[in-house]
Amino acid sequence: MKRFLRLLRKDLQASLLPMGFLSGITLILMFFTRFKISTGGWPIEAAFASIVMPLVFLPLWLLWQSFQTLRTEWREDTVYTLLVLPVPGWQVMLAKLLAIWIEYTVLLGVTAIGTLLFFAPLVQEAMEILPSVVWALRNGLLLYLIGLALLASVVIFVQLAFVISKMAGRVQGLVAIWTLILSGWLVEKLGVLLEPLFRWMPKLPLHKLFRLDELRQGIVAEWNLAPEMGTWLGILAILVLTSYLFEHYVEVNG
Amino acid sequence: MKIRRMTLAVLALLTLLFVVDVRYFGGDQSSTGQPSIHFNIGPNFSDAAFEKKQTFIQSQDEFTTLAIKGQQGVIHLRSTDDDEIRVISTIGADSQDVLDRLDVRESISESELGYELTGGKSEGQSLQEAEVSFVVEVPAGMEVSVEQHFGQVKIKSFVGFLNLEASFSDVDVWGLEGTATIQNRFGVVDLRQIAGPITLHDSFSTSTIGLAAIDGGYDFDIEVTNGSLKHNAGFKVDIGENRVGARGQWGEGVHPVVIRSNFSTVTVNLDK
Repeated sequence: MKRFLRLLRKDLQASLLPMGFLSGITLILMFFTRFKISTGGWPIEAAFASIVMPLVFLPLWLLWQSFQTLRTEWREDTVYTLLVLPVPGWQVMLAKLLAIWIEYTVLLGVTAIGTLLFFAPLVQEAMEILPSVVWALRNGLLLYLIGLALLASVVIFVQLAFVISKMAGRVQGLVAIWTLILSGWLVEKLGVLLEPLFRWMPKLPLHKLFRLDELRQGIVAEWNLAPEMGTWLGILAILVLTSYLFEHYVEVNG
Repeated sequence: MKIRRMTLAVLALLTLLFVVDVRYFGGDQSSTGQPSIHFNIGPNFSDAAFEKKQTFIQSQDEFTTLAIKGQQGVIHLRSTDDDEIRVISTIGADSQDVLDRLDVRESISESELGYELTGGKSEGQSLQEAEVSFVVEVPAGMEVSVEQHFGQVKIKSFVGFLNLEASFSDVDVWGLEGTATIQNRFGVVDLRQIAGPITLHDSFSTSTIGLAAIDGGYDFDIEVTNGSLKHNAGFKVDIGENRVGARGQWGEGVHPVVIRSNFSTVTVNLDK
């Protein structure tokens, strides 16, 4: 466990600077937007834009970051140390995933704090249409967890793409992109193929999970989990495969 | 070295399968062609499996005010030269059982006549599962209060006093002679050919107020907080912190136009 935490700390230290930079940019953007709206220079819609912009940029940044954390190991030759350490490959991959999760949480938190800080009246008005603060917090937490799951799957795909690219002698960038496309296609097909095996699973009533009836009666949202199960199993298998390849067959000089 | 070759061979094989899938199967993403998440907002009036219509006719004699309370459906309102108040209600529900428990109740309180949906013993549940639409005709000059949520309000050629409270609704008014007081949240308000005093309170909305050029003119008192204001009425706009205010007159300034708006876009058009 200690070794895992050390790996995590190392990855977090590496992302400290960009995390601080992005947090600062987000807060400055919000402050500037608030200032421009206050002086009548920008319309109120700009407030929404300044809240949404960091949220749109966040997945792109984290996608890049998940690739970059592995790339740095090669660029700075720390991959030698990683492979020499008595740490299984899955712990290395998991530590990187966890670091990305923490980065995501921090940047999301900064955006939320900035929104409350600079656009409090907007939040206050928005809260008036929501059933309660508890409802908003509960659903916010659920959406955050869904975000974590989606992010995890993206990171796992990127990790596989990177490791596979390091097994190719040339055109590693193209191999990485092509692996990314193929792995996405493969797990989707796996979901379709395994769907009959999971038809016994009941549909997940999202409207109950998110308590949408408190917002408006008559909303029905159901999630058919059967086609998703194969996809999730495929993603899990990719994590195992990536860890195995990284631990045993990756080319450090690539 | 062997595993590397195997990995690259697998990659090549998958590439071949991918190309075959895209070329010959169109890369279908699901075996059923259905999305995994099914989302539906109901009940929808046009899709309501069961409907019940009620007609109410009252002589205006003792009534000065008519109150209509709708939900999810459409409220049509217009003035007539008759002295009769005609209200046709249509209740829509997804099951006969729910529909049987529902009625539009007529209430009389002194000089006010009211219509709203009621659901007997299990009121709360049934009301939420249904929607009600109204077609209303009132004698010119009468006061009408309309409350609407999650639906539409369509008012045409209305003469009288209008009090309208709406949320999550589309409001269309085409031709109004008289006084209008409108409260709107999270909706779209489109007022055309308005002739008379008007008070509008809105938030998180898009509101367009089209004023007809009438004798006496208008006295504008507008305040938009955290929103925007567009106009062609010639009044002065004062831009402050988080707010846009406007005061001014057109003509003699007899009819007040009071607008209080939060987080909305307001457009005032004057047909000069």
